[in-house]
Amino acid sequence: MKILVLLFLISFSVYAEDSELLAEIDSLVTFDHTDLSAQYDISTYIPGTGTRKESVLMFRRDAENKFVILWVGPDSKKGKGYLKVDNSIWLYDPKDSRFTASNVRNRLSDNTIRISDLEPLRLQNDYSVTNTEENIQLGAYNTTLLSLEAVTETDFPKRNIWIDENNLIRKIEDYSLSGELLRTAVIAEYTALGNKYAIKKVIFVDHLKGAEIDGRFTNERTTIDISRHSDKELPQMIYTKSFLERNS
Amino acid sequence: MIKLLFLGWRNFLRNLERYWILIIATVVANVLLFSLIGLLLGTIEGLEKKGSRYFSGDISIQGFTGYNKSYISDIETITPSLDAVPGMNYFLRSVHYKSGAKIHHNGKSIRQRRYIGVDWDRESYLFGEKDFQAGEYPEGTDSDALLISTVTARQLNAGVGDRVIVFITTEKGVTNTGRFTIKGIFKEESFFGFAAYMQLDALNSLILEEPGTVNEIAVYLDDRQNTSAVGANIHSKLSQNLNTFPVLHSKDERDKNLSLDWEGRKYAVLTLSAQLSSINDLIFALFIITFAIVVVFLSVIVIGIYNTFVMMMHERRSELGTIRALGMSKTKLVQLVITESALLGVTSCVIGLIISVGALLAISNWLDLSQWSNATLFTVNGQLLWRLPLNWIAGVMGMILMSSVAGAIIPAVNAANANPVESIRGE
Repeated sequence: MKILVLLFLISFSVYAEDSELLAEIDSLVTFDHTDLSAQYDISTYIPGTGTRKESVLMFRRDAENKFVILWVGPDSKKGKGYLKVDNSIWLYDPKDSRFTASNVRNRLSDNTIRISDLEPLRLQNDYSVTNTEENIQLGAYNTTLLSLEAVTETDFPKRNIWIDENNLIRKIEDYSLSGELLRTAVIAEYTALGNKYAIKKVIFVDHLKGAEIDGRFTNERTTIDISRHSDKELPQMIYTKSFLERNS
Repeated sequence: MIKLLFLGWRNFLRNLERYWILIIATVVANVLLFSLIGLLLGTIEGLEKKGSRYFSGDISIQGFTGYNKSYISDIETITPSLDAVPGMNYFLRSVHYKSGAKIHHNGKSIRQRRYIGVDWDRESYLFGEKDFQAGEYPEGTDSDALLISTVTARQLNAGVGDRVIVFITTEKGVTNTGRFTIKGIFKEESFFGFAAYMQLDALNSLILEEPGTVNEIAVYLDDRQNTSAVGANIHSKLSQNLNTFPVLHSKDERDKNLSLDWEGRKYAVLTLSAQLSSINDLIFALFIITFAIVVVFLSVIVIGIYNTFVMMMHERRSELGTIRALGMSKTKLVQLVITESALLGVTSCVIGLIISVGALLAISNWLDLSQWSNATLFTVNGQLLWRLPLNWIAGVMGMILMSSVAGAIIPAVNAANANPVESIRGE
């Protein structure tokens, strides 16, 4: 009986430790006392076709679970935008001046990026750690690999994340429930804003899309360069439908 | 009557020189009418065939506990009711219908509207050999096999034996994938959206449902003409043991019923026509256009025959005056002229029908519209279908006959009312 209690206490303490670690990872990139705004320049390399570029402005208020994404380029998409308020997501299309209901799981554009990729991380809420491997060298970083399994209904039922010594994520592998590798994200650079960190550059590799170029299979790749970061407080009116309508 | 027919036929042959232009004109009108109607009926049959494969059969049975996905749980209660209905076969199916479904192969991907889980052995007769462009229909409990459409194969640049990744998002939003081997590529342009077939429990496992889960029962009829009657019969049999919605005429009507306040499990019986209600308007519009064209053609026939008969009666006034002078009554003369016009109608109908069937055979065999994506609605495997059932042939012939007779009545009456002596003198 004592052994069982001991095992329970050990596993509970491991679970609590893992949960705390995930909370720390989330906390480093979540701006819960300020707003976050930045410009995302997204370029998607489609093997055999070329590179498609688009730019969006992102405004986030993590404490209230709100965001606005507004396309500023190319011209064909200018004015299009997403608004998230009270767990509802609206897609605004300036072509017909209409809002339609959307979902964070939808793709941001015709690439591997989901709308949820632009939201703050919620690893502690959505995942539990199933395995930990320490001291894995990832380029210049000494990382810890955490294998995660979803405990809520999230985009990816299984994830592997590599965190550096500062608990910043450096690489993510997203898997389907059956264990198929769907995509890899490499976070190349962060920028510090006060005691928080915002991503400066991230590269996504879509493992399901690509083409053979010169006899070698090349995956579709999306690079996001994030600039003009700011953690200044933004006016409340930004997180409204009328903001999207006026800026279309 | 026989004498009248004989006289009419003799006069018709004697005046063939006068009739031949009119015969050509009415034959052309007949060819156009038969071809148009044949293609329209073929299009509708093709649409129904595609619809019954894409949706669950000619009649679909669905079960609900609220405004959500259909699940059938009382299979043991339902199947005896279905066994009691003659002239049909039924199959248990698992269906996944959610956005985000895709098939990936070698870096390429294509969206799928539906994944359909079937019992390979039971449903084998639905896929004939001619339905396959490549490969074959799987057997037994082959859970690795996948059947895809020609368009899907083309877009993925995939062939039989290739391994593909089936990507889905479950009802609860979980992303899942499965690797399958393409066993067969069936010929379909997928007007309703692309559908892929796999073994029932392979799909259940992919969408995280219990083995044996059935979403819909697909009923296939021996004779599709009886859909409404069999649908009503099934509904009445199910209603004896289970809660059912009223007979439904469209998916909108089903959704309306689902949104009402109700409890427990209820079953819906949807005929293919109810599933296709959104395109029934299109079919109705096609019928209206065809009807308008038919009316125009028939009017042209009536006017053409009227004008020709006015001229012909004038040219033949001496002959007709002689017949009257020999004792034929006015009524008999009218009947004689009308018999001639009816024989004209019958002759042109027969010639027109023969040419139409030849033209329709040529069109359906040699005209390949598979490259025209806009023609998908009207084609099956890139070819136009045509159907000319006997009742429609009889109907069209009847209309043409009536038009021929209608065009000849006034000239016939005028000829009969003319003074025989003046007619003989050619005045």
